[in-house]
Amino acid sequence: MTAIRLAYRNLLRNKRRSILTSLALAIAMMMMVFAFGMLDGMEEQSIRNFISYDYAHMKAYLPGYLEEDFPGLDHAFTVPESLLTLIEKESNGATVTARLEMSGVVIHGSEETFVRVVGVDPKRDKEVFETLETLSGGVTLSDDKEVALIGDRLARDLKIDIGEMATLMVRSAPGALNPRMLPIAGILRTGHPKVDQFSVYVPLSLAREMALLPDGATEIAVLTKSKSTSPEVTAYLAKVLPELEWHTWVALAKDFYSMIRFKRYGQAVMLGILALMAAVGIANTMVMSVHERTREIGALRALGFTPRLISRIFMLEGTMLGLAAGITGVILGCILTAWSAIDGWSMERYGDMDIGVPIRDAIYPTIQPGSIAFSLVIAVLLALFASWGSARMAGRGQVVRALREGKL
Amino acid sequence: MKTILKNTIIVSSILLIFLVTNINAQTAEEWMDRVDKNLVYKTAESVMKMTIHLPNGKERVFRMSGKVQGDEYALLEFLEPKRDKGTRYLKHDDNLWIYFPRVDRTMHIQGHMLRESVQGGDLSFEDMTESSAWQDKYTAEIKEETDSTVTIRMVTDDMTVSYPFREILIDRRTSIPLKIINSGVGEVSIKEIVTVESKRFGKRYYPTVTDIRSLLVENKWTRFEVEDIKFGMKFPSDMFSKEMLER
Repeated sequence: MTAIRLAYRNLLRNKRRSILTSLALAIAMMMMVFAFGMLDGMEEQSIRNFISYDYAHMKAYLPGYLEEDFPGLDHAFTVPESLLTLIEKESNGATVTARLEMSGVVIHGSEETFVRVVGVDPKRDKEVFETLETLSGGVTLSDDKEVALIGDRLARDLKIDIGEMATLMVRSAPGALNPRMLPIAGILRTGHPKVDQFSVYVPLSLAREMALLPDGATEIAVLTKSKSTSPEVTAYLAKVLPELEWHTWVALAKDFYSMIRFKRYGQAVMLGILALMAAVGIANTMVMSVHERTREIGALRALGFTPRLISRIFMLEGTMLGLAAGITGVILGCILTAWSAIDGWSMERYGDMDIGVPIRDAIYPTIQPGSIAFSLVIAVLLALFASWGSARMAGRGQVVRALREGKL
Repeated sequence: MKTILKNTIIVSSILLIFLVTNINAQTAEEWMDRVDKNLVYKTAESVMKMTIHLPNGKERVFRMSGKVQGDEYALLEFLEPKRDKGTRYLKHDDNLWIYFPRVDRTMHIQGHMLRESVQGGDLSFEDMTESSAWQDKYTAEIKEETDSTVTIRMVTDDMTVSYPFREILIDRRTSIPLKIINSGVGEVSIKEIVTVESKRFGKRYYPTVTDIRSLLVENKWTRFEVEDIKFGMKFPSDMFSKEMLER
């Protein structure tokens, strides 16, 4: 208790220096909380977009489909309604849909863009994905109308609006080109760049007609009751239908996770350097503190303080400094994160560039308790590490020399 | 009287021969056969220029040299612009390899990608290297005839071809297609190919300047000029190999 009191008093003795020293570490911790918040927010939003618009909880393809750089309709397979019903039954109440995806060209006037054409069953798709419901204008797809939905960025690039006609041309499975004039029924705005910028959605029946593939599909998507059960359901379906390749959304998003991992490493290195610089500041302050207080250390020793207790006082000083810096940094980091989350971190600065993240408009950082705890622990550990040398130095001092010469 | 009879027989014979020749030439297959004789070759070596006219008024110019052996093999090398110089395409049946000299890497493309456009123009690699007889795939019928031209309509049930419907306007004198309209499933017109200039090479006429216009995209067309072409040469056995591609 005496050691804590002494350490606390020593910190208050030179308030300005203590504040400035801890401020450097506090800024590093603030950046850490914010950076973690950004990555956590990005991951959370990406997962939501992946599941809602692209991967559902799991997907099945013909073997080899995902290995292709440009998968074509040669990997399409027959998906009768009975197969979807069977999967629904086997996966314990999950919702299931089939999609037929192919590359194509959409043309409006003198504008022409390569797109992914996605044939969807309007009724089934709505139970698995949110895509068809996320309209910024117009009406969604229905089984009986030969219309198309396009992303808002694609609509902007093509200079096309709801009700106008566009030509959609695909290459059918055998090879013949198949162009169709279709009215744009609605414009999608999902926040997923793949949907908003590169995709055209048409009814599955029309896509099959254009691909000359009756009952054809390139994938089956399944949404289970909970995403946590998807690995077990995927493994089970792989046993029931081994002719198809089954992948969980995590496996499908493996490139994204590699990117996130890489970003986390990069960020850790940057923040580590920043924190080390702050730690050097603490070490410097502690060394100065020891040198300033050599006579005091000598007096304490003469009064019966053991070298261990002296070291502990300085270690406690460092810990308190680190804790104060950590708490300040975390509070500042939380404020910065919360403030950034109001409007989000705009992705506009990247333009239409694909940075490998399925987020279009803005990243909304989040505050995770784990990040806060981690930042606090790091701050204290760094401070402990930084004050360890000077604490040892203080503990090793000779009483007489310290009192007479003011040297340890 | 004898002279009159003799003259009548001669004139009648000439007329008959002319008539028979004309009747033969009037079938669509005959016309397509003549077109094939002009356009189909066993081997060819050429230098070509391709100018892509974009809807925004800009132009992109490419020069390339090509060696083609039937429908099976083709080797294409870009000579201009500087950015693409040395990029080579090797086609072997349904496989395409693209060699990028800047990074010294070869990319392998299969199947449907052969039919994608080259450098964003109106020509696919398949279009540029195609040398197969149209009659192998289509059935032809005469749609319209004038004194100088014949219009042939070609249809196929074989959906492996890019254009199941084709309409060809043939010049009677040279048997060169003056205009081809390629249509997709449902007979929607997609592309128009117009021969601007053709030259005689030995016994055959061959289009040397061709305009390819998209009928779906406004203001987009490609001019394809054959600057030099030779037919019927013999290529070394390793001409269409990966070694030659990456040399």
